[in-house]
Amino acid sequence: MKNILRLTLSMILLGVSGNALAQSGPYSYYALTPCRAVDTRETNGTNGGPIFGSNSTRNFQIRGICGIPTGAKAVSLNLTIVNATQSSFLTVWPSNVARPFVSMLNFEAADPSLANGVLVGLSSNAQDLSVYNNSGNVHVIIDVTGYFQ
Amino acid sequence: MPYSYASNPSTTSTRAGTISFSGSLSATFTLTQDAATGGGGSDLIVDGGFESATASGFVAPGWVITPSPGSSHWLIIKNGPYGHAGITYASLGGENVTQYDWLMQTVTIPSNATASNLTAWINVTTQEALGDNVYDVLWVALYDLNGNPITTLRQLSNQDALLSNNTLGNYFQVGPFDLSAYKGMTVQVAFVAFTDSSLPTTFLVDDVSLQVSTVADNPPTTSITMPASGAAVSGTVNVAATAADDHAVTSLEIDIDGLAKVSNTNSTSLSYSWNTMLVSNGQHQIYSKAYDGAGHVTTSSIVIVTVSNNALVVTKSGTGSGGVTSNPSGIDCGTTCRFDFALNTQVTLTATAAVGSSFSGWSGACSGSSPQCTVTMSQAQNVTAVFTSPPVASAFYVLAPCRIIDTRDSTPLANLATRDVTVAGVCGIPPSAVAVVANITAVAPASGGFLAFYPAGSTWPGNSTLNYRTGKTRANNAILRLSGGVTTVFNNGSMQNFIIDVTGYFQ
Repeated sequence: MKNILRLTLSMILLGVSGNALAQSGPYSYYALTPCRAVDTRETNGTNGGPIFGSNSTRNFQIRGICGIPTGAKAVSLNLTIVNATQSSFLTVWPSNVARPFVSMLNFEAADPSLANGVLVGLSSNAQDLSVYNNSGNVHVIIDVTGYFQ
Repeated sequence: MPYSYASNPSTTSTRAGTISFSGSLSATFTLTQDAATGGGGSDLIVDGGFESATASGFVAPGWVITPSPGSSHWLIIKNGPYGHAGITYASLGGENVTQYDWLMQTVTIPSNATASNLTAWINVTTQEALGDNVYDVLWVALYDLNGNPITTLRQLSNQDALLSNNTLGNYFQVGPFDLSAYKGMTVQVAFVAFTDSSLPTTFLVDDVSLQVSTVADNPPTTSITMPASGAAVSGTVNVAATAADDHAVTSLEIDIDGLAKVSNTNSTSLSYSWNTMLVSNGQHQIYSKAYDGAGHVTTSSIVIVTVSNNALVVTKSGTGSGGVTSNPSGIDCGTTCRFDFALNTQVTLTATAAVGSSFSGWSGACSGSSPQCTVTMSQAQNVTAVFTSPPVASAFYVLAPCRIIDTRDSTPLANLATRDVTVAGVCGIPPSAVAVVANITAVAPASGGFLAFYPAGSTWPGNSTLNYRTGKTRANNAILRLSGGVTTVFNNGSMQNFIIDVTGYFQ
């Protein structure tokens, strides 16, 4: 019985450790002229196609483009979907931690397009921002409007 | 060397000489004839007084008469008593015959004429009752070289015998008639008499004169104003020429490689869209030619351009700095921002931001924001790489939520229109604010579409801020970068009302 109890504690610690990685600051804000960083309607590539499938995650590169320096810690962006085939939601998070159970943009299949503003941290990975789509196929656009550093 | 006086020389000439006296005394002199600068006046009519005619009935030099010289009906009277001056004059009509008499001389009115006045002395005598109807007529007129009438300058008739008191030798002057409208044209000055079959009228004509005044007419000047000599060109090139003349440029043309490509008339400028894709790469010659009415032709300086239709030209823009290199090599921009690749070469460009800057994207033949881009050199290509330097750090200041604008209070924004919205100075936002934290609302859209917000003074960067849906009033939160305290809204969809509410700003 004692061995089983220790194993459970270990799992809780892992979770706390993951959240702690995302807690840092304070940071200053740097406003940018809006810039399209991701558009999955474009040809296939790091920040282009293909379209998101159901229950799929993709990692994008935000730092180093659109005037965002490699030292940026967080980004302000406008998250847009087009051509959704099912009602679904998107999650956006720094790519070096596990997908959190949150949603940033909830949409219906009947929405031709829909957007929401998001402030989100960036990891230090080359592809620093993760996006998850829950169900159906959907195109995702990310316009960045500034960053925190 | 003897010196000959030249009439209207175009250049100044001098002759030097020495005059020697007996003993050792001598003097030198210089004789100078200046270039003619002004114009002058002259009479275009040859032998206007007919005095050079050799005998009655025969044509005077310069004149053409009908009936022909030597016929029984003499149109030229030599040694007659009724000349206006001298002893010779023309006599038209005067017979009881229905006929026409023609007295004509061909003249060319100079294109640089400033005045051109035709005069003649006429004597009319008739056997018709004075003041009776018009039966016999003399027209002073202009004809073209084919004998077609151009204009009648004056119509005289038996009635005008009153002007001569119906007395032979009692002349009156007609004209001056201004012929300057016929500058540059060759016309026939004509005196045409018509008589009917009874009661003859005699029209004497003497001392015909066409005085023209001219001014100096220098050759035109012309030049190619674009492209610049030595330019490297590709694609379609706008070629432009200008010309000037002290009177008028009558024709202007653009020649490329010795072939006239385009011309116009009576204009001092000319342009030509030159499709260099149709010529070989390498050097080509462009010049213009200008013509004036005096027959001068001027060819411009030759502009040599290098056509290079597989050139890849890289331009860097933005507030930051960085470099662009190519594979295969050629571009290292840096300093080498243009390179001619072989046709259809696949060129991969790599943008590298300098320290402190970042690469924000391509435009032109490349697009997107990936630092690498491949261009196919099927033709000349232009690529712009945009590097930006980091914007200034700013901190957040919170505001009580406040409405900046509600277009339902003014006018909605038309489809595909933009509007500048001044944010600074409203709702407590200072002029130094670099961005605002806003909630954007699109009210009751008539169709689907989007609103895009971006800093004022720049072109739409291709973003979107709020996607709206037919009939759905919808909001989104956004951080809007400002320029000079102003944000610009671009609308793509339908005529749209929108609202901007702010909750804070960055400074």
